[in-house]
Amino acid sequence: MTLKEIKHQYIQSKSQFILFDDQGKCLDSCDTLFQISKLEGSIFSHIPFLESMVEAFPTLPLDEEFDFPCINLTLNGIEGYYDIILKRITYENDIANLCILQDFTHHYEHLIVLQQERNESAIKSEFLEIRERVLSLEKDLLTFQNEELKRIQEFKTTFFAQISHELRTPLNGIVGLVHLLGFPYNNTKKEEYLQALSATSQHLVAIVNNILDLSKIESGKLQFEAVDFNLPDLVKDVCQSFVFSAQEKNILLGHEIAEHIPSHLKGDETKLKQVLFNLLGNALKFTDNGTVTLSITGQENEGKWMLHFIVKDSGIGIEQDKLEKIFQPFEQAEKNTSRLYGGTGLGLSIVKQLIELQHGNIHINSQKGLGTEIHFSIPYDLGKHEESIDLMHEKKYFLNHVLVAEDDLLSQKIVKELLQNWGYKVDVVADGRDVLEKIKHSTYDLLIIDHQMPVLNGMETIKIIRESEYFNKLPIFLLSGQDINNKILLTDWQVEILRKPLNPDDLNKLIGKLSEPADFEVVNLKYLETITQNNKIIIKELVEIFINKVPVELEEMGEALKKQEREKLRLLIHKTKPNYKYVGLNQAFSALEKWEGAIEKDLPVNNETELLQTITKTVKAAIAQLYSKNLNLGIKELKHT
Amino acid sequence: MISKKVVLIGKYGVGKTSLIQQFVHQRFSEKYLTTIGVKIDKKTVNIDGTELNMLIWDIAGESTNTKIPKSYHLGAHGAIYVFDLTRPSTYENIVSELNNLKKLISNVPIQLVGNKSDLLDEKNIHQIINSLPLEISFLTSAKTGKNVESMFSALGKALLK
Repeated sequence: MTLKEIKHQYIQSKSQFILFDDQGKCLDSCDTLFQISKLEGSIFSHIPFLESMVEAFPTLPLDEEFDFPCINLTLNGIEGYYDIILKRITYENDIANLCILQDFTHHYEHLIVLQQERNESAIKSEFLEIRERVLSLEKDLLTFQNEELKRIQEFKTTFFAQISHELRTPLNGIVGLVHLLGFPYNNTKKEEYLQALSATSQHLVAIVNNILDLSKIESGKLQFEAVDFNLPDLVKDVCQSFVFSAQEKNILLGHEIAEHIPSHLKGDETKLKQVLFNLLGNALKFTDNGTVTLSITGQENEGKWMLHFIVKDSGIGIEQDKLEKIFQPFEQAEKNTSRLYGGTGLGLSIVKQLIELQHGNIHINSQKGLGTEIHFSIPYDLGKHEESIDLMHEKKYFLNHVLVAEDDLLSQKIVKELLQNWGYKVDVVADGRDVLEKIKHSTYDLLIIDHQMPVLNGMETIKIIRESEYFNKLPIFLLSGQDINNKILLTDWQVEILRKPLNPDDLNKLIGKLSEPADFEVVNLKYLETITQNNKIIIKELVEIFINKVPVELEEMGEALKKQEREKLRLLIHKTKPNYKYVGLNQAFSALEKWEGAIEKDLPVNNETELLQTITKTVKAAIAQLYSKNLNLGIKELKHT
Repeated sequence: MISKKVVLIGKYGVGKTSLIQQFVHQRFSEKYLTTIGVKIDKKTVNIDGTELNMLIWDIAGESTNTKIPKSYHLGAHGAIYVFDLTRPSTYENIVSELNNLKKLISNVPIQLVGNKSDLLDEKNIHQIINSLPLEISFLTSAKTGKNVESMFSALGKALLK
């Protein structure tokens, strides 16, 4: 056998040529590998590879080869791998499809083992890579957490070291002063020591409050409110509280708000006050003569008002290299600042954070010896427009009997004495269970209750009271030394919160807020008696005028109100109101005065008709009282009954 | 009967063969057996009363489908691009891979399928889907059979349109 023959035999044994038309009819086949020519029907149904190409055959360009390497076919029950060539050719004057199968099963079966290994190792390394990435991320996270912990730890260490120093100084002072007060031979100096004790305690309270603020900021627990507030009123209030100290130091204290700034804004009013108190307090503290001014400008952007505040003083100023440090906790510009001017060195750090947490910013310009300018900006929403004046619900406050529940003896004593000094009758109990007993047997106008108490604590007691049928309207103030979590519930229960240590002003303000609706007023001729020097004739005339004219004027007011003749209404009120004062109807007088003022300023007034009705009822009741008393004045010709 | 050629494309080890095994023979094996070249399987399905003969080309996965012989795509009526939800490398370049595929077989329905959904929890799957720039047609599990039948049926419907 020649080499050519050997080669031919070898290649022939591994390949098969099939010719078929577009319908799958076999035109010819060498049948070396498979018996194709004897198969019945279309060859497509026997060879899925060809079946899937049925629609492609007519589209193949003539004489172009299409190679399909490594096709897995099972033919006549034998599975193998074949390289297939498809070609559209001219055969016996017609177009036919040529399929050349070349058996590479042996070759591909070797390859499959290699491919399996290659793929498996590639997949493994992919998973390894993912694992490494996860590990590296976990490591980064751990590093970050460690650094954060370390930072918090360092902050705490420094913070506690510094605060213990800050606290010890005034505490030592207090201990020393108390000790001095104990000596009988120091009686003459007692007043002086008490003053110093009060100042040192207040300083200690300020430090503790600042520390609490800072720790709240640090732990991210500080919350900001969004309430409507009046900017000019707020600024006036803050400045007002510095008037005295400014006068004492002969400093001109001024403020101005640019005209275009709306007066009603929405934001955290308390925090703004805190910032202004701090900055104005600092400005006054470090200024010995000259001026301290607060100016406010700003602009609107997409419905928000960015307010720019400038607190400017002509004080001692700060050196350039110290400017950055002064916003850090416990830093003051000079080592002896605390000694000369006092302060904790926490204020500006708190101010900066309060401003930045409200998406604002602060910066400082200063020149040593010339003064300091602090600029800060905070965005605010526009607040609600002028609130209408509600004259109907002018409140009158009656308070007599107060129940205090507090287990700490010292706090008990402080609250009790404070209230007694203000003229209230005070009962004291030490736990919530006693409160419930007491209110069953006595009538109280107010309950001041401590949060933390044995047996029944403040919240538990309040819950029982509010759920009871008889005492659910009893005004309650809750005393607490810590932040209360359940503020919403307390609001719902109409319970006011008082912070410990108790600030007498806060208590006084809350008592002031306590109220009950005004009742019919009782006539009282003391005023008339005074101004007429008890001249019965004049008194009689004036009372007759009240009885005869006031009801007519009320009717005229009703007419004017109906027709909305505002100026006429104002004039009528103006004319009629002194009569009310003469007969001692002071509440009605005051309501009329405010009503007149509101009309003059063109401000809206709530429920004017109802207000007029109430005044009318008051007048009727007053006239009845004047009759029934007859007042020994000999009023005879009475036109109105 | 209508016959349609469907090609399954996607990187190696994503479960193309397993999806076909599940669909055609309702069986699954945990063992990974690589495919080389092409293996063609056949299944007749009934789509809304029409008998459809699906000729499914299981094409060996490569690191990228540009390595696949272009001739394999010849005459394809539809395609399924499969990726493995547990291996980011199988879907990182999904946009360019699909664009390449569309160049070879234009105007045919393509299903984009995330396989091995049984290996991840819903939260992880959600994160992956959200990170992808394309909309996934089906999340399948060749192992449990979840969505396998419905994925092929959906393609069958699209092939008959």
